[in-house]
Amino acid sequence: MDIEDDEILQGFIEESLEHLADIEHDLLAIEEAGANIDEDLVNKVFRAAHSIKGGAGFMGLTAIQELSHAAENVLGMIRSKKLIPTPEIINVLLIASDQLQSMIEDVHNSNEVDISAHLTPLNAIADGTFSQPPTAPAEKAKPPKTKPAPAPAETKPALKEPEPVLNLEPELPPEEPEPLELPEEDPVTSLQEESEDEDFDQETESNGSVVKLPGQVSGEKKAPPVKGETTLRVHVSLLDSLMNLAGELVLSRNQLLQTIGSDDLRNAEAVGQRIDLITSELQEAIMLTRMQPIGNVFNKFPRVVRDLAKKLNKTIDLTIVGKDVELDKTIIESINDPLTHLVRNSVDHGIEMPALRKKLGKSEIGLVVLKAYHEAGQVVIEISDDGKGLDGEALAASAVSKGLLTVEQAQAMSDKEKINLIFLPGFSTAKEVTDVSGRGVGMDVVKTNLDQLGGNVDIISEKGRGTIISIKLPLTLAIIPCQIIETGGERYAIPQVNLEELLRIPASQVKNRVERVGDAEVVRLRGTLLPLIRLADVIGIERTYYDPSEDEYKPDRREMVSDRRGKESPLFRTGNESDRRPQKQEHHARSVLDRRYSASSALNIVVVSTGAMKYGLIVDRLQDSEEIVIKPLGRHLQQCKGYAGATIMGDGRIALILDVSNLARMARLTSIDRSDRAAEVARAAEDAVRAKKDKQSLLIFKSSEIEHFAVPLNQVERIEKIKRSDIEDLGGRRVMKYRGGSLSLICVDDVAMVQPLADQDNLLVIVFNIAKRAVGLLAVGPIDAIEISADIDDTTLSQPGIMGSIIIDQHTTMLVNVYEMVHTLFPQWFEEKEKNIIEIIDDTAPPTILIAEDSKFFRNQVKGYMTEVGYNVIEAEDGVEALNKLQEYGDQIDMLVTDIEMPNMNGFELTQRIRKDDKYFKLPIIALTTLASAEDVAKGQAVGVNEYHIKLDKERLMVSVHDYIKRSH
Amino acid sequence: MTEARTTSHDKRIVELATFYVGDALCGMDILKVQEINKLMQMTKVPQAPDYVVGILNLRGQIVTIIDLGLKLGLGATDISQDPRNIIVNSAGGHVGLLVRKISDVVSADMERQEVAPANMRGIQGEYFTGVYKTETNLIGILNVDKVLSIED
Repeated sequence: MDIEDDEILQGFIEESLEHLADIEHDLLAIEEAGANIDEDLVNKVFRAAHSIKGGAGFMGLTAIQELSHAAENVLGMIRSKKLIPTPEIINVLLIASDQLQSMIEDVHNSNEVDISAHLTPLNAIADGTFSQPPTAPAEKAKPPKTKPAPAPAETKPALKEPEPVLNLEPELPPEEPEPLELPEEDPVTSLQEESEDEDFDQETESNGSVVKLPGQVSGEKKAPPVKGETTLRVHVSLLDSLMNLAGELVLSRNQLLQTIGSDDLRNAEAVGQRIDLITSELQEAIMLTRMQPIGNVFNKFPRVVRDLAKKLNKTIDLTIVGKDVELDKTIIESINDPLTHLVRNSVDHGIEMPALRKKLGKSEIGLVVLKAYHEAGQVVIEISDDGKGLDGEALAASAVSKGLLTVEQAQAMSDKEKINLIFLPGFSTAKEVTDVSGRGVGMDVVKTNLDQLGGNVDIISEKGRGTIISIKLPLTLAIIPCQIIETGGERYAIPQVNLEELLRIPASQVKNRVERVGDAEVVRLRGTLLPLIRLADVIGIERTYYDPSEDEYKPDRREMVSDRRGKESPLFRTGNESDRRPQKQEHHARSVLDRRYSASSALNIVVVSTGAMKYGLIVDRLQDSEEIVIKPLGRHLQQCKGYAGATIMGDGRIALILDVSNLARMARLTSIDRSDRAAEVARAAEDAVRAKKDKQSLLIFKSSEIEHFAVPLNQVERIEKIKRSDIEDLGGRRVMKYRGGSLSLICVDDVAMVQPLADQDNLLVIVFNIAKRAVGLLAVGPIDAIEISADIDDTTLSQPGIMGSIIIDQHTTMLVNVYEMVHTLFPQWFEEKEKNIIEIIDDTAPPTILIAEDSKFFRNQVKGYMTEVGYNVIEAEDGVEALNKLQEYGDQIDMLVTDIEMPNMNGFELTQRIRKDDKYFKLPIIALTTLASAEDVAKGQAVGVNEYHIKLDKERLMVSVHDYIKRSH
Repeated sequence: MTEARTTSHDKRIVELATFYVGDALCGMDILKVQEINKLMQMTKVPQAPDYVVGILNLRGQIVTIIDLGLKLGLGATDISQDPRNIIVNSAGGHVGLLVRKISDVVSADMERQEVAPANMRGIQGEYFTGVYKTETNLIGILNVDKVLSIED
């Protein structure tokens, strides 16, 4: 090999590779056009082959010359319409161009490559002896899969296999000394550049507009030996603007130095601003030089899909949208592999065989869409297909059988969570490993790769309809926008990519919105239950809170956020009630200065998401959002998994960048995604808001598999998880051990005519406290607490034990009347009390109670409670009517039981009016609400309500009704 | 490490930067020292190994600061006593060694270096390549690579 001038050789390689990059694309276009030849296109390819031939001849690269000559001949025939480009012919040409490319990339050994396998079919085509259009000869000549040159003569140079079908795997590193460039550190980052639309002629002839840096081989299809990851093509105008900015910067520096010398502060400010401006512009311009169109990656997929589809005997249309979307060079390079994997997955596993598609009523031609677009400062890449979609159940089953998941976990998962199982390490979806997609590279690798780029993957899939995989990527990796937060006096940065929203819960609402489920704290956010993590706890520093009045941090000693004030909801009461009570009183005894009344006790929550997981990070303070430069941490800190790096802030100090997915792992957050169920809850909550009616908190559960039930949440004392074996059958009663005693267990079907309890091993016991005794209602999951506006139908499904029905998320849900059930099953519990009541009532004429309530259901319920024990009841539909009735019946009325939320006049106003009248000054007023919030209680007491009770909590209500009646008599 | 010394001094004379870690006088080849500075504002890194005091910004580079006292098992260096940072350039970037006090630069003939006793004033012997005797003092010669290695 007598190549004297390296520079000329280099030029030849660059040029040839550019030609080749175009050729592939153009050949595919020619194939598509078929007999309908686009002459310009064929001309272009012809000229490209010709140029390569010419250059190679000049350089003495005989093998390349020969091969390109053969290709040129065939192209010439196509051009002169002597030959119709069939897919078979194009195939031969494509494979030849692959071979050419690999030879050019390893130009020094190109002459030793045996190209006869390529020459034979090419010459056969040219001679017209390639007469059997079926693929046979071509395929025989060169199995297109792996070895394009199966010849035994193949020596070292063949290390670069064209591998026309799949260009995923990193090629072997070259064995011979790297001829032109440093060996790249990362051979995986192969990138194919096809400046598809750029006119080829223009590119070669008007080089003036494009700077070609020496050694530039701007990323063609994976060429480890030569490929220059080290060089980049930059437009002259951009370079000019960079020069300009650099000049500006120098001027500003001079100004700054002068200003510093002269002590002129005002001028210094101006100079500072100027430098600020120039720096940002400079930064932007430099970023631009790194931006490349994603088309560089996308353009190879038509070929990938074509070859793969052919191999699998599928017909697939690939649509590419958004080639012009630009991304940072490093991202473009690293996205290649994951994308290839995903596209191949879609083609191989996603799209069904044509026959099956036909049977399913789909078009025989499968559709794969590759799309890139900008969204919220990020680039989204979507790979969608209209194939069979992912089967969440199958995935879950597979994960369970592989031991990655327990059955319980799988049961608790939403569909989306199940689909996301595909990303679990060690999870391979293909039942059998095909040589197309199943190369031991799982989706977890794809996810890991994308995670490293700061990207997110999301899968939306509908079984039978298709799959959409969307990848969100940052535009660039070097500088990322971050939210700065403060905890424990130190600043931390959270990448904006992970940021969903910032949430500040005022002190007054903390109690209502932060709840506790087991050990975990959750916050209600638009109906979603969002798990909370304290940053201080996860990274193991002392908890603090920021006191703005003193501008300092103080230690925080609460155990739980919700410990601010006692959570009254019985559901969240913990077992050691007795321990907590005194503490609570102490809390209340504190003065108004108690900081829970001050603004500082507001909670600052950063809602972050990482992949499918979303959680709230409690921090001390929220600061600005800033663009930061990521710097790596030293090796001594590599073990700290919670940080993605560090950055230097404006004041010169360092802030650590948080890695939110690792934080979640450190905090052992288990939930992958609750979004589905959360969406349901959100919908229900929205409805309630819209209706502006009485909201009723319900606990929904199931007893049999089919029927949905609900009980008012505020009657629920606790929920226990038990196994079926925990239940004992004693004396005809079901009981279980519970807090040192026996808990009577009942089922909905004990009283009501409903389906029997589902035959499951995992059961739930909903514990109620009725007639001062605990009773457990057996149920099965899933359970959920929801808030819903009370549109209760009390006729259709009403029966013993069921007070009515309500539509919850399109399911008719039966509202269980636990009180009635217990009354039926254990009448002896009530005997003593009832005797008591009847005594009072029998003494005189029955007392009369005025009930003001707008909802017919609740009015009937409450009325039922009263008449049941012998009270007279007068009903009113709203406050105004109640007032009229009060005037009408005057002294006859012994007591008012009123709702708070009513049309025309609400309960507060009604109470206020009544209290103003001396006549009714002493009238006992009991207010009924669905949710006794602390504010409401306070307000009610202010206007003169005697007592508050929760609707449907019959027992407490009646006890206090009797109490007041007794007192007034 | 001493073997690797190629300071081109014929007699293997090495300039030792000496400093106090706790009460122990230690020294290291001055050519390994990039600079010595005062303790600047550091950022704590929760969950870091306990001997990592924090990280600081050294002209745009993130430098991990290691408390040499803790690392050698001599107890934490008192931050209030105006300690110094010896910035050394190690394989994985710059690392700062927090020491109580900087002492003189001593020219030492490495031929006269003696083997470090297994236990030198309570210091773990493994962190020293040897000891060097001057007229007044005993200098423990620090095995910087060992100190900076991550054993766990």
